[in-house]
Amino acid sequence: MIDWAAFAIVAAAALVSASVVVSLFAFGLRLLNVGRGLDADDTPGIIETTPSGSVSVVSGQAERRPRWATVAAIACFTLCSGAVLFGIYLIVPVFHSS
Amino acid sequence: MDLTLIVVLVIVLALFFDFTNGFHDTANAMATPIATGALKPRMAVALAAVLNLVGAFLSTEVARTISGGLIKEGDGGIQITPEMIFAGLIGAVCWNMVTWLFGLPSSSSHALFGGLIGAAIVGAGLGSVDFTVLVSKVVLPALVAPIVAGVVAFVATRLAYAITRDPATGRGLGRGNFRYAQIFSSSLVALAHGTNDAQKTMGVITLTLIATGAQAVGTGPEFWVIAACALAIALGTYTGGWRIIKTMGTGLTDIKPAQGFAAETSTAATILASSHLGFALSTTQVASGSVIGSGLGRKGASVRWRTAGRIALGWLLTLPAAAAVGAVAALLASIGPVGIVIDAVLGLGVIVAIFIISSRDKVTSGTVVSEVDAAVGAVRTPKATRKNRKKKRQAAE
Repeated sequence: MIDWAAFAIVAAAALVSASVVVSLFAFGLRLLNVGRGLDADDTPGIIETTPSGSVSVVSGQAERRPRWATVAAIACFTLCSGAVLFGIYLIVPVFHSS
Repeated sequence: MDLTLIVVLVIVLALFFDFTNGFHDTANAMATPIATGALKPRMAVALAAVLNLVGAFLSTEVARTISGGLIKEGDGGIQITPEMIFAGLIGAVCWNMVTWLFGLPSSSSHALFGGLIGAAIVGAGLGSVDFTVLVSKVVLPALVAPIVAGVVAFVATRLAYAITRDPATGRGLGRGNFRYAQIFSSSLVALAHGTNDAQKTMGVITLTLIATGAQAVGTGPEFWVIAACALAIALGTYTGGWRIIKTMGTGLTDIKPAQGFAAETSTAATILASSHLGFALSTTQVASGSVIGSGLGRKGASVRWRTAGRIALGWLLTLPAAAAVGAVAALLASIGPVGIVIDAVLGLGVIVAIFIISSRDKVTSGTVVSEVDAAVGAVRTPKATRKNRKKKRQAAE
C-alpha cells in the first residue's frame, strides 16, 4: 500500500541534488577566496595571530588570486546554475510531453 | 438559477482560498532571504508574486488529477455536488485564516483536503472517503517530508560550512556571498510553489464546472480558470504573510546566508524530486523542516524547540480541524439554499472578524524590517554574533 521504495528514492534524490548544488556553489566561493585566504601548508610563516585573537597577514605574497582559481570558480558556478536549470526543466511538463 | 448561483459562490470562494494560500506561503520561499538580508522584504514578496504567477501557467498536471483517488467519485462512487465543494472550501478558508492569525505556517493543501473530506463524509457518508489513500498519500508524506527535508538541509549546511572553512584559521571564507545564491534558490522555491499550489484551486473549480455539467468530463481547466487562479495566488503572495515570515525568518532559528541557501536548495530539491516521482508533498512542511535542519547544521546555532513544537501542533490539527468545519458547513448546506446562505454569512463573518482582530496588533513590512535588520547586523559581525544572540535572548526573557 505504501511505497517505501519511492520514499527512499525521493530522499536519496533530494539529498544528492541539494548536496551537489550547495557544494558546487561553496567550492566556487572558496576558490574565489584562494588568494585572500592563505594556505597554511605552503606559507606557514606569514600568518600571525595577535594577542587579541585577530589574524593578520605579515608578508603579503599570496594576496592575488591565481588565474586557475578564477577559472575553476567560474566552472563551479556554471555547473551549479546548470543543475538549477535542470531542476526547472524537471518541473515544467511541457518539456516532457511525448 | 440556484445552480449557477452556487457555482459562482464556489468560484469566488475558491479564488479567495487561492489568495489565502498565496499569502500563507510567501514565507516558504522568502522567509530565509529576508532574514539574511539577501532581499529587501518588499522586493522579495514582489519577486515571489511574479514567480507564482509564472509558475501557475507552467503546468496543469496536478489540476487534472486533484480529485483523483481521495474522494471516490464517478460510476459506483458518489456524486460530488457543488454544495459539498462549497462546504469544504468554507472549512479550508476558515482554518487558513485562523492559522494565519496565530502565525503558524500550516499546510494550505491539508486545509483543502481536510475541508473536502469533512464535507464529503457528511454529504455522502463515511464510505465516500478512501482512507488507505488518505494515509498513504496525505498523512504519511506529511510525517516523512519534513524529516527528509531536515536531514537534507542538515547535510547541505554542513557541506557549505566545511567547504568554505579556511584550513589555516578555521574561519569562514566569503560566506556572506551565499546571499547572492539565495536570490536564485528562493526564486526556485517560489516557482515550484506556483506550479503546485495554484493548480489545487484550478482543480477544485474545474471539478465544480464538470459536476454541474458546464464542462465536459475529463477535460483540463479552461484558460480563464488558469488565469484567475494565477492572479489570485500572485495577489495573495504580494499582500504577503508578514506574521508567518516573522515566525519562520527569525522565530525558529537565527539564519545565516549559507544556511538559508542550503535550506532553500533542500526545499526545492525535495519538492522537485517528490513531484517528479509522483508524491504530492506540502511546500510549507518541507520548508519548515529544511529551516530546522539547517539550524542544527551550524555549530553554535540553536533551534527554539518550543516554536517548532507549536508549528508541529498546527500541522497535526490542520486536517481534522478543517474537516470539522467542512462537516458542519456541509450539514448546514444540506438544509437547502437557506443553509448555503447561512454558510456564506458565517464564513464571511469569520473572515471579517479575524481581519479585525489581526488589525489590532499589525505585523507589517515595517516591523519585520526592524527585526530582520538586527539579524543582518549580527551576520555582518560574525565575532559578536553569539554574544549578541545571548544578549538578545536575555533581554527577551
